[in-house]
Amino acid sequence: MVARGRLLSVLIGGTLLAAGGCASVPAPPPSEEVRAGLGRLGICSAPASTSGEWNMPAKGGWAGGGRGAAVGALSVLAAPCAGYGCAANVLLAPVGAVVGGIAGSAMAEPTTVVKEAEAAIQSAFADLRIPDLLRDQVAHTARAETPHSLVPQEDVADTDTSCVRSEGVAGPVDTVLQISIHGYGTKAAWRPNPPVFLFLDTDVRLLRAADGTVIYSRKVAWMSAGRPLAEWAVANGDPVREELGRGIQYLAERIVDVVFLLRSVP
Amino acid sequence: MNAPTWGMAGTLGNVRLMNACERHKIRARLWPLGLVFLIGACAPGAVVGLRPEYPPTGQLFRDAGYDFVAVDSLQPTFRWESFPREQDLAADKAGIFGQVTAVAYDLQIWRAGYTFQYPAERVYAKQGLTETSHRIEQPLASATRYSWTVRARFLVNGEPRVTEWSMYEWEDARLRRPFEELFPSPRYFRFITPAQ
Repeated sequence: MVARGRLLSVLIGGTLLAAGGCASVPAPPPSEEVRAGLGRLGICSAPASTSGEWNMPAKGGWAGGGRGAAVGALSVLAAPCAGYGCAANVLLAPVGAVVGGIAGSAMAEPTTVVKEAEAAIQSAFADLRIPDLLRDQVAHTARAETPHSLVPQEDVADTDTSCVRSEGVAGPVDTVLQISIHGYGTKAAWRPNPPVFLFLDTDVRLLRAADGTVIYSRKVAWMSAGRPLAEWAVANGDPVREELGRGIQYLAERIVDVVFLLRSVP
Repeated sequence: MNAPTWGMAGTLGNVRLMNACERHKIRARLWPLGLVFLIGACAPGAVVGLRPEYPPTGQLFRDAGYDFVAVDSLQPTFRWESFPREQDLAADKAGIFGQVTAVAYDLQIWRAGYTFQYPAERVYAKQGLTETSHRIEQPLASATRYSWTVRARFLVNGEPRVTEWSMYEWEDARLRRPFEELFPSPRYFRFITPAQ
């Protein structure tokens, strides 16, 4: 009986693992009742709640060699095998590490190149005042796509719901759309010289102006296509500024869709 | 993806505390549920939103995701199912779709980046298309990978509404990102243009 139970667990577990490639269910948009009660709307940007996350390629030959060795060893260990072949995988893992280490060392960019590129990318992020640009782009997109005109609120964000206490430049509002950036920076796989992705993660919330109650919240994220580090860093990071400009536009469109337009259907 | 996994594990843990009869009943119920997970939501070709007719969804490879379907022209004609669909009407208990007017469609095409073929840049966007097909107005680059997506745009009691951008249900676990939050989505339908 116990064996059958274990078999059942294994089979169901396997079935669920097979489902691993399926999409998770997205958070629903605000209900039509919530939308109907929005009234006069304000918009504000909360300051970024975290410092940037900067995943970069390996800095120099030694670091590249280390990453290459780890990747090489893991590649051998993870290779398909059966029976004694799996033992061979274990025995050959050090060979994979040596080969990977040599290749990683050769592929890695010099430390100074990576550090300069990292500084250029971080500078491009800092130059753009992303929260303000995103807030303005959302207001612009909402005007174009919906009947709503979002009233900018003063950004006096010292707490999570401080925007609701601020006075809108065009008088009081009933609901505030608050956008905060809770993550930004670069993503890169832990390999010697992987492509680098830019990303922005936002929290979008609808707050009742009267008491700061959160009546809807959702995360919306953007990630660029990956490019080699050197491509991002040319011209003191101009490609980063250009790509972030596009990303802010895409994020704004998505935020307006989710908050005001999207209707769930089966 | 994770929530049902852990929910099921918790249920299995509780089974050990029950008597044999209850265990048998629960197992009998779990088998069909497992099959639903296996062949239902994860079925190749399962989509979110409006189903594409051309280019079709293509073949799903377990590790690499959907392949890029070869289209017949640098200015292909995209086709998709109309809205509201049968399942929309069947699920419409509140009679919302009786109030839907001015149905139109938005179409977007994104050039794929070279890593993971993630949509990199929007190269074509049309809003308010009145037909369920559209031949794009300028040629795309040859031998290039793209993603495309479509959605319905309509009015309910005079208020503008849209459906979700259509996409595959499958997601690429290699990116380790919450896909439902990402825009543009890596799950848009894929195609590749012919060589010159």
